[in-house]
Amino acid sequence: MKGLAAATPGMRLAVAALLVGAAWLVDGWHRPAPLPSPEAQFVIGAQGVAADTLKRQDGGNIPMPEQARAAHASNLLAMPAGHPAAVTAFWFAGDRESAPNVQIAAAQFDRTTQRWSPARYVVERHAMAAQLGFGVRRLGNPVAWLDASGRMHLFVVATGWGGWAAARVLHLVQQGPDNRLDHMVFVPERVLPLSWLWNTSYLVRNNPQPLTDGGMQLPVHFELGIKYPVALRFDAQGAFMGMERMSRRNYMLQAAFLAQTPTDWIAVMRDQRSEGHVTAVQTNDGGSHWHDLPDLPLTNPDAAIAALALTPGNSLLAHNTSPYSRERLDLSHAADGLHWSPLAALAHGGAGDEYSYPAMTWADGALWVSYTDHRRSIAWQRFVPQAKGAP
Amino acid sequence: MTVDVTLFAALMSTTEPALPAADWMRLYLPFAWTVVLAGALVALPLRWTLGVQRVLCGLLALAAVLPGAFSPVYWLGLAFQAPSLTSVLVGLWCLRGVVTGGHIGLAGGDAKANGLWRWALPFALLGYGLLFDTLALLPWQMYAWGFSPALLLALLTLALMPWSLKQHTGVAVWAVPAALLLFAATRLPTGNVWDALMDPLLWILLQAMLIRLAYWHVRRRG
Repeated sequence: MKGLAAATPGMRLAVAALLVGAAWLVDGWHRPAPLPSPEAQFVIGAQGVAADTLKRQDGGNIPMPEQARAAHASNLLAMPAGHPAAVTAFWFAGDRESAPNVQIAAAQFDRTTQRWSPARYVVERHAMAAQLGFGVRRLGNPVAWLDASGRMHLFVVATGWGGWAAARVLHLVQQGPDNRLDHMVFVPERVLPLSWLWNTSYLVRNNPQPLTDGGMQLPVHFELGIKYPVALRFDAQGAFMGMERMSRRNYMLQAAFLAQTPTDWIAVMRDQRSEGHVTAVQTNDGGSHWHDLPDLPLTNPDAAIAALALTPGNSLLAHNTSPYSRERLDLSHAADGLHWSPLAALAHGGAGDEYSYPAMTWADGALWVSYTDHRRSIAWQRFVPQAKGAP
Repeated sequence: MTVDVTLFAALMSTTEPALPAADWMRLYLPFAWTVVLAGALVALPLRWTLGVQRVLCGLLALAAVLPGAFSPVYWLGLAFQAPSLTSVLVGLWCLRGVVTGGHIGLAGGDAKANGLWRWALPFALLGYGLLFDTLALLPWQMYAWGFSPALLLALLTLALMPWSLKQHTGVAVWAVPAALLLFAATRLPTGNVWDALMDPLLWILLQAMLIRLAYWHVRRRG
C-alpha cells in the first residue's frame, strides 16, 4: 500500500487503467451471450381455434389441502404432451390470506381419469428460509413456467418485514427430473434483484409470455404506495436477463400480456383507482420498450384480470365486470386486445360474493380457467371449441 | 463502425446480467452481516477493552451460523437482504482495530481522517437517485443500468480518480474501487452494481455522517 501511495502520477494512472481493463475482462467473462430480439410464441395447439366458438364443457372446484380454510391467487400451467397430467394448478392456501401457515398448494388434472388429484403443499416458507439462509415471512401468488428443457420454474411472492408491500419475487426451480405432483420438489434459485431499496415491494401474479427462443417475459409490479408494471426477461433455461419498466403511471398492477404479432403486444392491467378501468400499454419490439395506451372501456373494480392470446387476432380476457365489486366474473374475447365482447359468464353472484383472481391456460385443445371462489377454494372451468353454428 | 456500434451496444446493454451463483449468495450473507455488525460494534464510541471487543466479535460470528431464527442473519436478511460489498469492506477496515488494538471511528473527526467524508455527499445524492428510481419518479431506469458493463466501468474509473489524480488516501479511497473489483469478480451480492456499491443502511449512515460533519464545521466556525 505504501508503494502504491508513493507511485508517480503516471504510474498511478497506468495502474488505474490496468484495473479498469481487468474489471472489463472479468466482467465480460461472467456475462451470458446476448439473446435474440424477443418474439412471442403463440399457444401451441390453438391454431385454427376461434375464441368466440368456445363453450363451457365442465368445471367444479379443485380439491383443497386438508384443513386449509382459505385459498387464493391460482395459476394454471399446461403440461407437455406425454405427461400424465394435462394441467397443474398452483395457489396459496392456509388459514387466511397472509396467515403464517399459508403455503403454496398444487393439484394436477389427470389425463386418464379426467379428475383433479388431491392437492398437496409444494412450497413451505420455513423450508424456503432454511435454504435461502434468511427469513420468509409470508408466501403468495405462485406463477409457474416450463423452460425449454421441460423443467418447472415457480415464481412466488415472499414477503420480508411488512405486508405485501414488503414483498419480493422468489424464483424456485424444480429439483430432480420428475414433475408429477407426488414427486414435485422446488428449491430456491434466488430472490430476483429488482430494486435497490432492500429489493422490496415487487410482486408477481400473471402468466409469462413465452418467447420463440424458449425463454419468456414475466410481468411483475411494484406496489409500495404506488403501483407500476415491469417486464422481466428470462432465457430458455430460466436465467434472469433484465427488466424493463412498462409504464410510469402509478396505479397499474398485475399486467397480463396479449401478443398480437410476434413483436406487437398489449399488456392489460388491474387499475387501483376508484371507478377504474382496465388499463393498457403496448410494445412494438417484443417487450423491450413500452408506451401507454388509453384506458379500455372495461370497468375494473381494483381486481386482478387474466389474459391469453391464442393466436394473432384471437385473445381472451377473464375479468370482474361489476364496477365496485368482485361478484361477477366474465370471459370476453377480442381480435385486437382492445375492443372486447362478452363470451361467457364464469360466475355471477350477489352482494358479498367474490369470484376473483382468474387464471387461464390452453391444454389438450381446451381453454382452462381457474379463479378464487369466495376465498375458500379454487374453482375451475373448461371450454372447448365448437363448430360455428353449433348450439 | 459496425464494430464500434456493437461494442457500444454491448457495453450499454442491461439485458445480459451476470448474477452470482446461488451458493455464493448463501455463503456471502452470514459472512457479510457478521463483518458489518462486528465492524459497527468496534466503531461505536464506547470504551471497550480489546479483549471485550474480540469476545463480542467472536460471539457475533458464532451467532451468524446459528440455525434459522436463532441467527441474527435470518432476521437481517429478512428485512434488509445482504449488505453491499462497500459496507463489508468498511466493516473489515473497522475490524483492523481488533487486531491492532486501536480504536477506529467512523463519525465526526474520525470520518475526516479516514476519508469517508469524500464519498458521503456523492453517495447521499446517489441514494436519493436510486430511491426516486424505485418510486418511478425518474424518466429513466437507474437500477436497471446496474446490470450493464458500462456502469461498472464508469463507476470504477470515477472511484479510482481520487487516488490516481490526487493521491488521496484513506479507507474510502480503496474501499469503493475494491468493492467494484470484487463485484466484477464475484457478482455479489445480487448481480447489480448498485447493490454492490451501496446499500440503503450505508446510505443512511453516510447521511448521518454528513450531518455530523456539518455540525462540527458550524461549531468550529462559531
